[in-house]
Amino acid sequence: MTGRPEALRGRRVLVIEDEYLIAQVLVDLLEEAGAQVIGPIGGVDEALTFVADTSHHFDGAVIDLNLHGRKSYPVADALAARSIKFVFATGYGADAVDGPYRCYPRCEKPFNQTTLVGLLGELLS
Amino acid sequence: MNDSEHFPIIGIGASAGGIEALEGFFRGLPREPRLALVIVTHLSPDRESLLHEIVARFTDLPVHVAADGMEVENNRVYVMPSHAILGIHNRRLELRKNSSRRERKPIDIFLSELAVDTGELSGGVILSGGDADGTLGVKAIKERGGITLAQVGDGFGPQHPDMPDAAISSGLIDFAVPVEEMGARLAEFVRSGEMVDRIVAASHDGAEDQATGRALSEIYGILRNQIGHDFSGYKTKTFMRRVHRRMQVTQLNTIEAYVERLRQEPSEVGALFRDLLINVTNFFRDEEAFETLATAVIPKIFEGRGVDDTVRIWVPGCATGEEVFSIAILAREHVERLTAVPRVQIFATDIDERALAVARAARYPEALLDSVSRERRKRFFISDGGSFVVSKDVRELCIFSAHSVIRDPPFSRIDLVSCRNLLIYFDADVQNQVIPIFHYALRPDGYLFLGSAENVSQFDDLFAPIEKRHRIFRRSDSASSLRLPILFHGLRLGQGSELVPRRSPLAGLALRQAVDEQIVEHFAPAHVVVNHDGDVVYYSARTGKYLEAPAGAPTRHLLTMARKDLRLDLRTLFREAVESGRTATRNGVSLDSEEGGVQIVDLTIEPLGDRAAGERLFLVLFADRGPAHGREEALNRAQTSHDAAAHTERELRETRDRLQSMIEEYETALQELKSSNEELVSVNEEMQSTNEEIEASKEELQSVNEELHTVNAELSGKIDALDRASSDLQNLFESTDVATIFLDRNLVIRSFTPAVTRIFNVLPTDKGRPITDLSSRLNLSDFPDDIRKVFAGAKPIERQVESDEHATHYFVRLAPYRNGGQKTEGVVVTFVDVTSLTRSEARQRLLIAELQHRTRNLLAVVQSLAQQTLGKGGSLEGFSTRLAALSRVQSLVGGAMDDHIDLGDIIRLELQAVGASDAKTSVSGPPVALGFELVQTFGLALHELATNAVKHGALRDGPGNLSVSWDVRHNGQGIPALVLDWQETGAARFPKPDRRGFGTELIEKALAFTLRAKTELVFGDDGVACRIELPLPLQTAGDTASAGETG
Repeated sequence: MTGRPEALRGRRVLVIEDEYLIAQVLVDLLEEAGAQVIGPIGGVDEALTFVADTSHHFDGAVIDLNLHGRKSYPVADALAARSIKFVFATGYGADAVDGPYRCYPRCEKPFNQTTLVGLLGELLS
Repeated sequence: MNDSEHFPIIGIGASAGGIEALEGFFRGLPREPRLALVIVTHLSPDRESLLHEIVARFTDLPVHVAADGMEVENNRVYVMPSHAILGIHNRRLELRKNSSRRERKPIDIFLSELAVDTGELSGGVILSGGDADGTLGVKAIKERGGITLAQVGDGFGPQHPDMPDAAISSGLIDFAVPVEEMGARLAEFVRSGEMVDRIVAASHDGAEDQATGRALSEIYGILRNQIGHDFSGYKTKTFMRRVHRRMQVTQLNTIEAYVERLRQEPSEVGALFRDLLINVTNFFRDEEAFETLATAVIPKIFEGRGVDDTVRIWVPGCATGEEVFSIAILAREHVERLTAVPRVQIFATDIDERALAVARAARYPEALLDSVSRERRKRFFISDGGSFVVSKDVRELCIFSAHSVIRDPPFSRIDLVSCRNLLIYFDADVQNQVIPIFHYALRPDGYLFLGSAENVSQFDDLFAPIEKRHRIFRRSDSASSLRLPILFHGLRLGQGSELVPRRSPLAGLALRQAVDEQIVEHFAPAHVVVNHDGDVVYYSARTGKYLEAPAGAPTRHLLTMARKDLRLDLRTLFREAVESGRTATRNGVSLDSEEGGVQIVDLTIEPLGDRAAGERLFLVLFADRGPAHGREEALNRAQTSHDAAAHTERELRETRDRLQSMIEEYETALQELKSSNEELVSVNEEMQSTNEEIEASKEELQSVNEELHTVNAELSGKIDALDRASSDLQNLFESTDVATIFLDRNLVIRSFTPAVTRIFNVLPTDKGRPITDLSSRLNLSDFPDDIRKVFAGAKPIERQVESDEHATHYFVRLAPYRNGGQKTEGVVVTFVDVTSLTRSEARQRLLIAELQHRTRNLLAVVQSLAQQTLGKGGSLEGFSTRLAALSRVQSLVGGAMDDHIDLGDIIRLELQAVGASDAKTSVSGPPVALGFELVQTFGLALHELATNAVKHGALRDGPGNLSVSWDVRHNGQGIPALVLDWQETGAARFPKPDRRGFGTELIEKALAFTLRAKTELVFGDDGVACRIELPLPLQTAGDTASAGETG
């Protein structure tokens, strides 16, 4: 569609999002950019379990900040521990992200394909 | 003077007790009085007066502190400042420095200058006070035709009535009324003044009101007939004003009514006459008359007087003393040209003690001195502040005493009686009594000086005119002194004028008198009349045989003059007659005649006539018995008659000699007594002058006291205001919830509001302790630094602090505490509790973030719907209806009080939106509140079911029923779950749907993924059956705060 369709070709991207319809959008969007989508995963605990399992291979992740009322910071920590790059997806403004996590890139809802794909492409290149 | 300046200026004099009086005065004053008021009080020069603030509380009129050169404007109030003397010139106030010391008569000074400056538009009001200040002032105002008022008691009364009473008793007050009524009188004054202006203006225009003209000429006529004075030459305006003043006093509204009153009441004519003539009491007023007095009379009365003599002048009805001092000045001027200076005594008398007090003080405002020449002013007055005091050498000539010319016995042996403008106050009867009294009082050749409107025409036998024009008369001796005893007899009995001898009955009396005189002269024995002391007051003819002039100083004493042979017998007889009051006789006293013969004499002494009072007189008769004999013959006769007693006679002679010597000793003693008496008299006079000095200092004390009273009243007024302010402040402190602390430079607590106890552990007894000693519930680590900054920068500092446990937040403001001189003396610290504000702010921030989050999520959902519906070849209509369903759910969220929406509402709204008929549907279940995070997806799923039922299932036209029922169940782990059954039955020709449609995906996958629900979707033959088991969060309702932190 738009942007650089090749940017994510062959990349495995984990989607962590609790809202089915929004997750669907993400999946469609990433797949269009040529990525291989893993997930979506809707809960913090499931996501932690998934990330902890090193047999799961993926290159990057898009994490919703708020999963069923819980912040997804533990997931971010776990990803960072595995040195996997990720993007926060959030409906909140910049202020809503706690201090230590403000250094991570953020993508605001509703998603703009160019922005998201561009961001992920830069992270993963 | 233009019209705008043509308003009256009223001077108000007040002293002790004046504040209350002023309050009453302003209460009675109209809102717009159309005049200006100037308040003059006794003030100490050493302190600021607060009077203007106090007065401003009583009135809406603008109140100004008088300043030099300030123009007096209409409807304003001016208050004298404390450090100066107030005057007025050309309707501008003048302030003069009071260099020497406090002025004792500021009211007199201002009112008299006001009178000179403003004339008929001036007014004087004398309120409560303890002195006689103001009396001279109202006099000046009255003379210029202004209005005068003084306060009288009205139950509350003047607290110190002396000052108004002095003014009232001077007879110069138009209205003696309570203070509340003064306003109305002043308003009438303004009105009548304007009326006179109109009348006068009209007469200038030649369109004189006929009726007024007639009335005026009628008044002239009445005055001419009754008083004999023609006023038609007076200025109409002046005359009209005086007439209107009388109309005002008599409360008559029309001039015709007043003319009627004049016709009926002679006393009113007199009153009008006096008002018209009032302007003659100043120093040397009527200067020509005084000049004539100085040249024609004064030298005469000093003529031939030696150092031991006394020149006596009497000024009856002296009032406030201007006339007295004018004459005293003339006398002093004359005396300076003499080598031998006789004593001068000027007796000044009046019945009014208060007027005498003014005269004794001898202190006059400058305005009253305008007819005193510069030389005289310099020579005879001492300038003291704003007023002038008569110099001591003039003052000490005058002796003031209370005395009624009508009731009290007159003075005697007077050289000059000056009685100007007193007689006009008396009616004809009293005048007829008083003029003979003056005649009696004067020495032969004494002078009488009257006012220009007065005359002695009915008594031209008593007085001969010297200067007719200036009313100077000389006592004439032609009339017999006989009338005086009778006169006094009559007066003493208080029977008025009936007993005053008239001329006609005198004719009979004169005849008899002539007969008596002839008999006495030719047939009566020689006789003398002596008084109680033995002084001869009357000699008959031919007394030389019995009396002779002794050696030494001339004397009138009977016993000194009696020939030696008679002396002893006379003395005995005289004493007998004096003591017994009866006739005493001694016959056959032999007297050696000058021819050498012996005359036998009968001596008789008898009290004279019927003298019920006054001096007792005795008639001494010397009756010769037969002709004189030769010495021998006499001796023989004596021997024949007294032969046997010859021896006794000798003894008697010796005894007589002894007696004689004793008598002489006695007389010496008497002389000494007399001289002691004279000393006493002079001592007495000294005492009198000392007394007058004491009185003067008493007055000074009194005026100081006045000032203190005024100051005290002002202070207590101020203290009242302070009390009110303090109580306001106290109440503010008590009621305010703002914690405020006042600290001084050393951080010591001055005072604080009760709310401070919530922040510091402070007790009322902690005032005076440094605030650093107190523990605080707040985190105030920067506090001392901040205070130092405020001291250094003198700018307020503001900051927000919180309590140690973050439970409360305060907004703290440190502002410099400035004293009157704008110097920073301390710090005012205020704490405003902003806890709830802070919390609200935080909550608001959270809510905004949440709103943003939800909106963006919603947009993402819409994005997804669009992608799922349109992106996969769906119709725009499908997208629209889904969007509509989403918005319905949103509308429920927006309308709900909190974030929880009842499940029943969602279902009914959805069914209603798709147009399901009530007949075909049944909805049942308990109320279940769903949170926002559940509602959105759940609502979309229901929408899919409902649209499917309308298109293909039970809600299509035709047969079929829909039942939606739900319940909350608890599974094994105790987690509540909503179980909802969607059951369609009886739908005909139900087609198999597309299993991969968006609706199916939403129900089967989205519910499961997003809400972790279990769904069972069965497409039966007669409709869809769907069961959804939705786990509910543990807190399903109530906690609104959770909405903000979840989602």
